[in-house]
Amino acid sequence: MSVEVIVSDLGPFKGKHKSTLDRNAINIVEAPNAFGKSSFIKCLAASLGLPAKSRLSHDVACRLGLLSQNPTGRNPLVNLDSDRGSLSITAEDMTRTLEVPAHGAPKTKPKGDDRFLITGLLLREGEIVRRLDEGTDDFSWLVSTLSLSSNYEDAKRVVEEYQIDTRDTIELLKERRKSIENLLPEIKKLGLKRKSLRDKRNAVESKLAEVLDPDPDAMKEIEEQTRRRDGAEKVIEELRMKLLDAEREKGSAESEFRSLKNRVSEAEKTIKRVQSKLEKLPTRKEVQESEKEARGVRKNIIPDIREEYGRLRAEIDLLSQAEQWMTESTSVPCPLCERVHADPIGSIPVDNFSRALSDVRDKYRDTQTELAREIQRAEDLELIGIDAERKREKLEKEKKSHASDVGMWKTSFIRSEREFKSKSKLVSSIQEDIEAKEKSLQDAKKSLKQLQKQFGGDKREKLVSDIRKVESELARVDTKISGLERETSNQRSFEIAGRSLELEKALLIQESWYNLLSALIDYTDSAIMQQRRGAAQAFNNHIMRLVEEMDFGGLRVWIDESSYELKVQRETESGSSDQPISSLSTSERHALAAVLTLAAKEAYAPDIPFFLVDELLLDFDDRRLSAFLGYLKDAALRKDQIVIVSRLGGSRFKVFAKEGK
Amino acid sequence: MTKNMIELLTDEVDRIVKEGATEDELRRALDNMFENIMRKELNE
Repeated sequence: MSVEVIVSDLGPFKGKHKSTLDRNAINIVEAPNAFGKSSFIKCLAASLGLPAKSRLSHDVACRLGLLSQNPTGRNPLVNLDSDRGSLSITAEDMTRTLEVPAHGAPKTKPKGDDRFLITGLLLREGEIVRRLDEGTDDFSWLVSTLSLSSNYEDAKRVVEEYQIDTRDTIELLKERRKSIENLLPEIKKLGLKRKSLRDKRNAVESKLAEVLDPDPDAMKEIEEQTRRRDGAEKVIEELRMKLLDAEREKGSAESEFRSLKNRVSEAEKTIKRVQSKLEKLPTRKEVQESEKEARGVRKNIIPDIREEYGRLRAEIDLLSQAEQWMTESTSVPCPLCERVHADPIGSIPVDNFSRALSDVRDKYRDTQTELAREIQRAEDLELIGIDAERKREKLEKEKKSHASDVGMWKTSFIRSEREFKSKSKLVSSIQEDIEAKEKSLQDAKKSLKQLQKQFGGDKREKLVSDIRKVESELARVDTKISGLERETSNQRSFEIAGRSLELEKALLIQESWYNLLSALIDYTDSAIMQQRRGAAQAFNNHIMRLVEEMDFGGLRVWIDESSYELKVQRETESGSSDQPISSLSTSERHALAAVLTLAAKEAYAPDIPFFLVDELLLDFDDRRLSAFLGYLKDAALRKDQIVIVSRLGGSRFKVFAKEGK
Repeated sequence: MTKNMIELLTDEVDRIVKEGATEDELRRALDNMFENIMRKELNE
C-alpha cells in the first residue's frame, strides 16, 4: 500500500512534484544538499501539525520554519517565486491538504493536531531535542502540553484574574461598611444630644410659662403655638427620613440611567467611527485600478527583470567556470572563447576579468533586489482589494453588533429615565413639603417668641435668651445629622455590572461569587494534577518499554510523577547512580530524545500514522542506531505507520530501510 | 452558593477545556454565571 504526496510551490519545489511513500515501512529521502529534503519533511509536518493552537506549538512551528515569526511577514514555506504553495497527502480515498499563502496563515484540511509538532518529529530543531541539549530536567511542560493540563492551566489563570477582581471589590465594600459603622455612633450621639436640647428647651419654656402674666387668652395662644411648633418639628423629621430614602432611590435610578446613557452614547460614537472607517476604505474603482497596476507589473515589468536575472545568472556561471578553468586546466578549451590556451592565466587580462565578474555579480544582486521589490509591489497592489474587503466585512459586523447593543440598551434606557424622573419628582415633592412645614415652624417660633416677649416682661428676658440659644444649638445639630445621614445613604449604594445595589446585598453577591471561584480554582488544581499524573504514568510506561526493547545500555529513564523531572540512572556493577542531563554525551542526549519522542507519540498521538526523522540519527552510535531503526521498522509494520527518514548518510543503515522516493 | 452552581461551572470549564475553546468563551461563561448569581440573590 502506498501514499501519494504532491508538493506544489513549497520550499525549493517550483511547480508540482509527486512522491510516493510506502506504508508499513521506513522511507528514505535521499538527495544532494539544498535539494529540499528538510523542506519536504517540514511541509509534511505543517500539514499534520497545523494550526498551532498553543503558544508552545506556535513557537515550535516558527522555529521549524513552518510559520513566520512576523504575522504579516512572508511564509517561509512558500517558494520564493510563488505567491502560494500547497501539499496533499492521499491514501486510498482519504486526502489531507495544506494550503500556504505567501502572506497569512496556512490552512490544513482536515485540521492537524499540533501535538504532532512535539511527538511526530525527531529533528534537530525539535522541542524535546532542544530542551535536552539545554540540559534541563524539568519536563512538566511536556506532560502539560500533551495532556489537557495546559488547557486547565489557562482556565485557572482566567479564573484567578476574576478572583483577584472580586477580592478587591469585597475589600472596597468592607471598607465602606466600616465607614458607615463609624458614622452610626456619631449619628446616635447627635440624636441623643438633640433630644436633650429639646428637653432643655421645654424645661425653660415651662419656667417661662410659670412667670408669664396670667392672661387666659395669651396662655391659650402660647399653648397653641407651642403645639404647632412641636407638630411641625415632628413632621419635618419624618419628612427628612422619607427624603433620605427617596434620594437614595433617586441616586440608584440616576446611576443606572446615566450608565445606560453613557453606554448608548459610546456605542453610537463607535458606530459613527466604524462608519467613518468604512467610508475611508478604497472604492471599487480604486481597487480595480490597483489590480490593473498589479497586472501591469506582473505582465510587463517582472518578466523583463526575470529575463535579465536569468541572463546574469548564466553570465556568472560562465565566468565562474572560466575562473575555475584558469586555475585548473591547460588542455580544456576556454569556456569564453572555446580555444585551448597554453597559459590560461596569461591568456586573459586577469584584472579586467575580475572586474567583469565583480560587475556582473553586483548587477545580479541589484536585479535580485529589484525583482523582490517588484514582486512585493505587485502583491501589495493585489492585497489592497482583498484587504479592503476583509476590513469592510469586519467593520460591517462590528457596526451591526453595536447597533444591536444600542437597540437593546435604548429600551432599558427609556425605562430607567422614566424611573429617574419619577424619583426626582418624589424628592422635589418631599422637599416642597419640608419647605412648607419649615415655614410653618418658623411662623410658630416667631409667634411664640413675640408672645413670650409681650407677656413675659423684663424679668423673663434671660429665659427667652436661653431658649434662643438652645434653638440655635438644635438647628446646628439637625444640620449635622442630615449631612451624616446623607453620607451613609451614599455609601450604602454600590454599582455592580451596571446595576445599583444595596451595600449588604452587593457584599453578599461578591462573597458568594468569590467562594464559587475559589471552589473552581480548587477544581482546576485537582484536574491539572490528575491530568499531569495520568500523562506522566502513561509516558513512563512507554519510556520503560522502549528502553527495554531497544536495549539502552544500562540506562534507566523515567519522569518523576510528582516533580515531573526527567530522571536518568546509569546501572553499573556497583549499583545505580543518578545521571544529570547535562552530563550526557550528545549521542546519548539525542538517543534519549528519540526515546522520549517515540514514547510521547505512542502515548498521546498513536493515531497519526507518520513519524519524521532527520539527520539527527547520524549522532547515534552504531548499536543504538541499529536498535532504533530496527524498532522503527517493526513499529511501522505493526502499527501501519509511515516513517520518513531524511539523509541517512552512508550505506550502514540501508539494511533496515526499504528505499523510497 | 449551592453545590449545583459549582457543578454547573465545573461542567462548563470541563467542556471548554476539552473542546479546546478560547479564553473569551470561558470569560463569557464566567460572566453569565455571575449574572445568574446576582439574579438569584436579587430574587429576579
